[in-house]
Amino acid sequence: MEYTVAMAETADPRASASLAALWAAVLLGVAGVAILAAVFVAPLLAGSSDPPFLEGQVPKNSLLYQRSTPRPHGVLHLAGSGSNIPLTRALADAFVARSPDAHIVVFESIGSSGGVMAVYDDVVDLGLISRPLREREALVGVDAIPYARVPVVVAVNLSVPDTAITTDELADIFAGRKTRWSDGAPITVLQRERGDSGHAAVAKALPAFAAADEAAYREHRWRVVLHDRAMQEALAITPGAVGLLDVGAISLQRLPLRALELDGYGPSEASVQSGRYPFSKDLAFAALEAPSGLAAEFIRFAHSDEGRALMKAHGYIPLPEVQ
Amino acid sequence: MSEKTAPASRARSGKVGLRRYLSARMLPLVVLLLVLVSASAPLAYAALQARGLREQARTTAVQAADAIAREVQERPVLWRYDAGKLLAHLRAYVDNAGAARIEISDRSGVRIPLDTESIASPTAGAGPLAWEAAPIVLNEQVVGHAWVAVSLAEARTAALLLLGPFGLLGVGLAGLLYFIPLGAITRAERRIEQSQAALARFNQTLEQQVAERSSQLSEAYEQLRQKEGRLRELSARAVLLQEAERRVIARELHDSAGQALTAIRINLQLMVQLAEPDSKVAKMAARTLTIVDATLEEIRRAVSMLGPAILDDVGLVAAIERLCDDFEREDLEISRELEVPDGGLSAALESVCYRVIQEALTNAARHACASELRVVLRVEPAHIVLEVRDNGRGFVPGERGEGSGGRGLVGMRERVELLGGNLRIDTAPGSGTAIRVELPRRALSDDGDDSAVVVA
Ligand SMILES: Nc1ncnc2c1ncn2[C@@H]1O[C@H](COP(=O)(O)OP(=O)(O)O)[C@@H](O)[C@H]1O
Ligand SMILES: [Mg+2]
Repeated sequence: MEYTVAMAETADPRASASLAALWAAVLLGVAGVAILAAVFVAPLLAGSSDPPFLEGQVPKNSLLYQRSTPRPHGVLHLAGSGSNIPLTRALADAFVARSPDAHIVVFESIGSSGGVMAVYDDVVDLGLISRPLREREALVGVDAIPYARVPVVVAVNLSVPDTAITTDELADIFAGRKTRWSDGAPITVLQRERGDSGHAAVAKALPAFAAADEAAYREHRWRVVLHDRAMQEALAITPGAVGLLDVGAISLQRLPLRALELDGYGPSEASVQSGRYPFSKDLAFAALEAPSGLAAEFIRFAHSDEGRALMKAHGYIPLPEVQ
Repeated sequence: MSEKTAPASRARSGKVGLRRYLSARMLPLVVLLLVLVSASAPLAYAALQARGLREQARTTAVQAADAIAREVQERPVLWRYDAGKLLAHLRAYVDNAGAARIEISDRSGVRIPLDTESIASPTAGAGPLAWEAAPIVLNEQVVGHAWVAVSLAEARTAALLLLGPFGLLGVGLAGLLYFIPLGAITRAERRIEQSQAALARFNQTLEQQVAERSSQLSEAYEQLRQKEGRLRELSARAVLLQEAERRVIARELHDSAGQALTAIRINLQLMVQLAEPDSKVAKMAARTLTIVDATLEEIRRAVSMLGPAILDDVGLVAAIERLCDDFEREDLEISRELEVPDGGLSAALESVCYRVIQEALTNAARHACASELRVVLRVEPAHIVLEVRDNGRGFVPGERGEGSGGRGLVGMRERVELLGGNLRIDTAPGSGTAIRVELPRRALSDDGDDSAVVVA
């Protein structure tokens, strides 16, 4: 009895000391768990909303700016949109034929954006773009020098019997509403990647197409082809295939493809200029500063009569240097 | 007053204290259990999940870096400008490997812009991203990094969601841990309380019970005493009856057979005198006389065995005097101090006194080698006191005393006790022997019937 009372007394120093020790041990345990969580689990769970790399254009005076490897004198390097490449290569061949000392390298497609970036980084002398410059690109000092307008055509495999469709039908095809050609063969749609200049040109002129195109990307409805070259090949070998392509690509490379008439008009200079043929895009050189030397010479050649004649011969519409 | 409140307050503090003591010690343990159970599983899950996701991101980054490295090999300078191709490579990883975002950075750690919109999986929610990188190597030179981000939001929410059930589990377990022993201690406490109350009640009634019991005990003792007394009375009465019977038989023997034989003896003596000497008749008569003498002697012995007839003849005091005279020799002097009450003694008392003195004298003569003997018969208000004391060699009572040798001492004691008296032997080797007997005077005189028997 007396013992119980002694235990019960909270004032009993021994009992309260042992209780305090117990609490201390428990708090230590809890703290241990907390430390474990903080040291081992929290770092694993802690992500960063900030990406671990630098964003945007590196200013040229920055230490981070990568100097390009110096290029040999007398060689002109061009790279950019695949849309520009057939015409530009044709122009380059003509240019080199006229002045044999000069060498011009037109690289495989890196896209319009890649062309602008490569020019900015001074990796190439001129970029090739098939879309208007973005504001951001203009801001860093890149200039666009237009040289040709190219109709965007609806190209089909030669197995397709049709020679003309309407713009509405085009939208229906991309929306998946029209699935068969006139002979009953199934239609195979080949799409370029999002942001392709050809698709952009058609979407700009035909809102119904823009919607169908966007929906098709979202739903992965069609096969997406990433380059002009691949697109050309795919169209040429796939029965019933249809896709968007530059007119010049067909004629310059003698591809086994057919361009369909749209609403009764073919992609001729006259119908494009008059706006009756609705789809076209402008090709331009991208240059960082006022181009000089070989670059300036080449640009001049592109705008020369010889260059303009070459363009016209292949369905391109020459554009003046400054619009 | 103070004695009354003290146990009450003690009991109360005892009750509260036991529970409080236990609960104070259980509480920290319960808290620890709660924390451990509810936190450990979600923490472990979150850690494993996050590690798994990061591991996956790293693997994806390595794969992406390999794919890009092949591209770099083909186009050492321009690879980084071909957003389309890079995109094509990377988009597969976003779709297949569940990466939330994939980016390529160049040698200086600047992101290579791949698209107007960065490659992000539609499922990738907001929230924290864990970034993992793998180097893109060309000719043993790092030309950039592939960065893969995985979303940790899911792992976080899953861990948080786990916190719910495991918290509940922890609360449940902690509750069990806390309340089961507490319940047990409460029950135990209640029992203690009850037994304390019972103890208090018991204390109160104990004295009463003791008094009750002892009165019962004394009652029983009294009953026992009464029974014993009755038993003794009964045995005394039996002795009396027996003694009386024996005396009647002895007198019959003495009076009839003895008288007849005495007459026969006289006749035979006459026949011897009358017959011719040395005739056959004289011889026969003489022989018969011898037989009659022997028979007479037998009868005398039997009579004296059955009851000391001398008591009837001369009374107790004279009988004792004669006994002493018989034992007295030249070298043994016997002093006596003998008195009897006015009304005399009952036959039983008389014969017991006589026999006791007879045996004591016999023993003294046989064993003591004493030179002096003292015999006392005294009357006290309640008792007759008998003492036989010698100055002989004494003995160790119990050694070869009562029961071990003859039946003398034992018989003495039995006779005395049958009449409700007691016998004490004071002796030690070399210091003589004293035998003292107390016999109650009024053992039988209360009863009229007995006195009739005694008289008979
Ligand atoms: N008065 C006495 N003095 C010495 N010894 C005695 C005396 N009375 C008795 N004893 C001892 O006690 C013994 C027991 O006596 P008792 O019972 O009368 O038997 P018994 O006389 O037949 O031997 C005796 O043998 C004797 O040794
Ligand atoms: Mg004897």
